[in-house]
Amino acid sequence: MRMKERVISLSILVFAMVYLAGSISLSVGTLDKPGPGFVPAGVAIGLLVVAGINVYKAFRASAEPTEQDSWLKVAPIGIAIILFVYPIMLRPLNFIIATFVVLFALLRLLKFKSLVVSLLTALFTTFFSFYLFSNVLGVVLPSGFIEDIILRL
Amino acid sequence: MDVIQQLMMGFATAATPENLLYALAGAFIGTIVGVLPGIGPLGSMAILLSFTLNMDATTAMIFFAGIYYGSMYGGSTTSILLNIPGEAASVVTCLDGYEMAKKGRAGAALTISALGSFVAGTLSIIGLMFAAASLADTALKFGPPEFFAIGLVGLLILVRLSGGSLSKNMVMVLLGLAVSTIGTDKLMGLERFTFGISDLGQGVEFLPVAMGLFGIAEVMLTADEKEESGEAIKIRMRDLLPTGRELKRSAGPIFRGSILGFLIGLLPGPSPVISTFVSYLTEKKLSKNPDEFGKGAVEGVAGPEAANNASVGGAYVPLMALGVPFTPAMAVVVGALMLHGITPGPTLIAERPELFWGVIASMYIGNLMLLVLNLPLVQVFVKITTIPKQILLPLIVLLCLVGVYSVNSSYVDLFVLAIFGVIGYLLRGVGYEPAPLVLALVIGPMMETALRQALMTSEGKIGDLIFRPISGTLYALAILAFIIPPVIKRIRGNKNQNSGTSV
Repeated sequence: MRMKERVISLSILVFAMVYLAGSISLSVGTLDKPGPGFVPAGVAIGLLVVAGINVYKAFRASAEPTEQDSWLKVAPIGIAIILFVYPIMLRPLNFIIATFVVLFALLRLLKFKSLVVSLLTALFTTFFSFYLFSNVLGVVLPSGFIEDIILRL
Repeated sequence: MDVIQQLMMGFATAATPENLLYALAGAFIGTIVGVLPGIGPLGSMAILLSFTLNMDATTAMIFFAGIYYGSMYGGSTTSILLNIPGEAASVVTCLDGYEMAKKGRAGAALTISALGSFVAGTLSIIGLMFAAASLADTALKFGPPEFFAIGLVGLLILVRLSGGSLSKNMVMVLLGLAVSTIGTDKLMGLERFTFGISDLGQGVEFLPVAMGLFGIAEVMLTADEKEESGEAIKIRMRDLLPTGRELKRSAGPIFRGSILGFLIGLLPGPSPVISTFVSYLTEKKLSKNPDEFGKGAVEGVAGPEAANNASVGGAYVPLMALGVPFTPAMAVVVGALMLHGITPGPTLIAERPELFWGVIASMYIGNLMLLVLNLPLVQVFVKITTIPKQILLPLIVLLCLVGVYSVNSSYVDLFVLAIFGVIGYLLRGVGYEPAPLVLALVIGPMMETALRQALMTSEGKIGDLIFRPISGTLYALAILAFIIPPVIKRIRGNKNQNSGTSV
């Protein structure tokens, strides 16, 4: 926990520095004519100070490693990867295929029953959700020929 | 038009078949959300936000109000029958509710909880009716300095009330404000921190941030946990009736819980949760038998359950009267209003009376629906908790993805969802609360515009922003909120030390 806390508080401090640099590069203006960088600069200075306090607190505490210190947890990392891959897949593959892949991957990641059951569950959920969102709730989803066939049914 | 006439108009709006159906659907979904640990009213409202696009604005508000107070009802069911709080606001109910259930009084505990919620809900709606309308009248006189003061003081109180570390809460507020500065500057038209991504020109959308921090982060955290399951206590319909003594003992706590809940609901932060703790401690202090608390005291169920429902009405006051959301769930309500082209603010009640009074009237109807819905269907709701997380988590992810995409059909929003999901997972893991970030993101643009306008009008004189009747009072309250708790803590510490040395 301590190591995680140190890394995270340091990351916030670095973000504050970068954000401050970005804010100053905008026009900060004066008190009577505040520019677009006025509020960002104020926020960045505040963030720098408070993040600094958190870094100090995190480094002052003892750094005994605990079980929670591990960053390598399969399920959360897997879910994160799936979330970043989904928008990349969605444009070329459209809703049905991209969603099926994501659901199947999530079910396997969470160790849901057997391979075949996961496959069927992902397939059913994908088709059902497309019908529900597209036909019943009127959501416009990325569509290709598979989606068009379903919509015509 | 007087209040009664306006309320009648509200009932006419709420009683259309479509609005009644959505009030029932909202209450039902809210109850399920309250029963299921993890999603919460915010997550579910955020997921369903895009689907309200096809509804009329009033219908969407009625639907969301149903989800919000339905979740407060639902949370108590699993607390009493399984000792698993579906909602953070139901944690306190576990203490005495489950103990009552173990003694064979589960039915009575559920009925008292439902009755308490109903009475509190109704009383808080009366409070909302009068408080929001009069506050909105006053707020019409507010200028940029007052709106900046409300935003700043609201965020400062939120930092104090969100629990955990003050400096961590402050970091989250500042991060939220930083994210709110991304996009085109409203006063000068200059792009800020967009890195050439055109989708970011309008700023970072609230929805993917909220769903990432709450929904996706929760999925990632839950995926790592062991599945919790409790033995559900079975109840029969005839067991639902509380005894006369139980009802008599509950009356006072329900009334006090309603008042406390409504007042705490007016404050920024996790008001439903805080109100339950305050109500529980108040009842324990007032009780002639404080030893019974934690062993199945009916007051320990009645007070907190009334308080968390009443806080919902309170939370609507700043939103309806000032257009400022003080809880993340209310921020979603703002999002829904804005999707329908309505900017909440002091003029909302005057310009859209059918919306305000329709929602108020639907709350009365919805509370009655929940009372009728919840008691006979208790066992059905308990069954829902047995859905394995391997099914539930992928479904939540799917709802988040579709929910976010459907608002703007934007791939960038999906990346924002993923980024804030990961950020939420990492930050929540080391004790950073996401609520201050979300609220700062929503209030940030209003605060920035108000501050810059106020500074330009006053020609840079900061004193003109502070030394005004309303702003000055608000700043003084904020300072007191920060100074008083540590002073009391120090005095108590000294007292304990002195009594320790004297012994």
